[in-house]
Amino acid sequence: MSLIPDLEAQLRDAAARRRERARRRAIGALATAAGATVLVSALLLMGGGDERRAGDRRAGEERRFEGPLPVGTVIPKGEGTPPRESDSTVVATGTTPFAGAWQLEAAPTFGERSLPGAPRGRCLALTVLDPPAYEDGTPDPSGGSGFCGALGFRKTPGFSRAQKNVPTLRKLRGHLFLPKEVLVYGRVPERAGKVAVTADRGVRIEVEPHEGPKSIRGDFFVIPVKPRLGHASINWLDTDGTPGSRGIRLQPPVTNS
Amino acid sequence: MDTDWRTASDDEVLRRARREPDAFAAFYSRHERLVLGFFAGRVGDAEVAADLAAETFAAALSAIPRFRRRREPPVAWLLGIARNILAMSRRRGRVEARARRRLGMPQLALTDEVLERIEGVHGTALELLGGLPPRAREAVKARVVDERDYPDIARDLRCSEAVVRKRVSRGLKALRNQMEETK
Repeated sequence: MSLIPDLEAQLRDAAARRRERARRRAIGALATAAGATVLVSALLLMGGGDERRAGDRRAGEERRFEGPLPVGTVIPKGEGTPPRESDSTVVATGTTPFAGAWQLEAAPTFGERSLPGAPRGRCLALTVLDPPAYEDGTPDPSGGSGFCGALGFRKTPGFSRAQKNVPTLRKLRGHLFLPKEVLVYGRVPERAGKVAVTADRGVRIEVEPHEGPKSIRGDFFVIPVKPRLGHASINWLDTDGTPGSRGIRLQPPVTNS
Repeated sequence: MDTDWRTASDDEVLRRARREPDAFAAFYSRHERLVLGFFAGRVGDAEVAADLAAETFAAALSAIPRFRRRREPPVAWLLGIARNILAMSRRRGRVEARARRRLGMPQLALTDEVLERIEGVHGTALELLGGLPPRAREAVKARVVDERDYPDIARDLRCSEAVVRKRVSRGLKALRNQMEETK
């Protein structure tokens, strides 16, 4: 007998649901292919039509794209897709050229099961609302990314950064596929006028931070960058253009190593 | 037709788990103790260990289509997932739940009785590890307990990486069999 019989049953159910979804997807793909054939035939008969994209870069029919919610919206615990683990407040929204629409949320960690010794405070979570698929059409399973507490940012109070690869890095037959876009996101003090990413060869990307809701201290930013910039770092500048900290080095794949 | 999963290899079970939900349940059942023991020893909290184990198996279930048997046996692949889940959870400061959310799995409701059983698993795993032949014990400890890389272990043990992989594989298999017997 299993030590956790509930988990064995949950996994069996999840495996059954997964199998059913795969079956439905296969039927859906077949129907879509049949529909496309009919559509192409109709366009040919009409003697023309709009140019169509060679392939849909979006992740498939299973994910329903819901636009970003207004800043300040509180998504209650257990609601949303995926269900939120605690009340989560939308602190910024926007779009980037490749990843499309994103939504940044802040949520308290208090009351959740935390690892012993883990910092408590707020978690910042970035969700790519309609994640692009890989080039071969495989859906990217990960639409979200997040971090909690002040971990790793002790020398730069109020300033934090994390990265979300779009699509997620993947290794196939020994080859590493780099993301098309890396979303660098985080929080800056409210007195910040700009957030800047700098890298080798004079690369400098500046954005203005998003003003978050009044209920949450700080402003927020999401900066789309290309991978492999080399020696890239991020810093915030006050309204006079003075750097607010020593800056934080960005991680691979934005940097080379 | 009912399958007797006890006689099937891990490779066979994982191959069939792509289509048969019972196969993955069997894979869970045979590696549950090993994974729980892995986490219980590291986080020292039965409830967190159970959550981490649930996330590990959910991630493994999602990753089955991408699983390709190479040099490592399936159990090493599973422990690799477990290591990643633990690292990710430590980084985020809370137990990772992404794979379970994606699969629509609710949070586990754990009774005191189950928690007690999980606490006992770590001790059993350590005892059983002590009972392995010295070479296998050394290799399993270095790889699974100390989380070291194969090349690093091979340098220390003065043998090839392939030999280390073999020892880890045999050691884990022996551990699993012994854990099955102690059920």
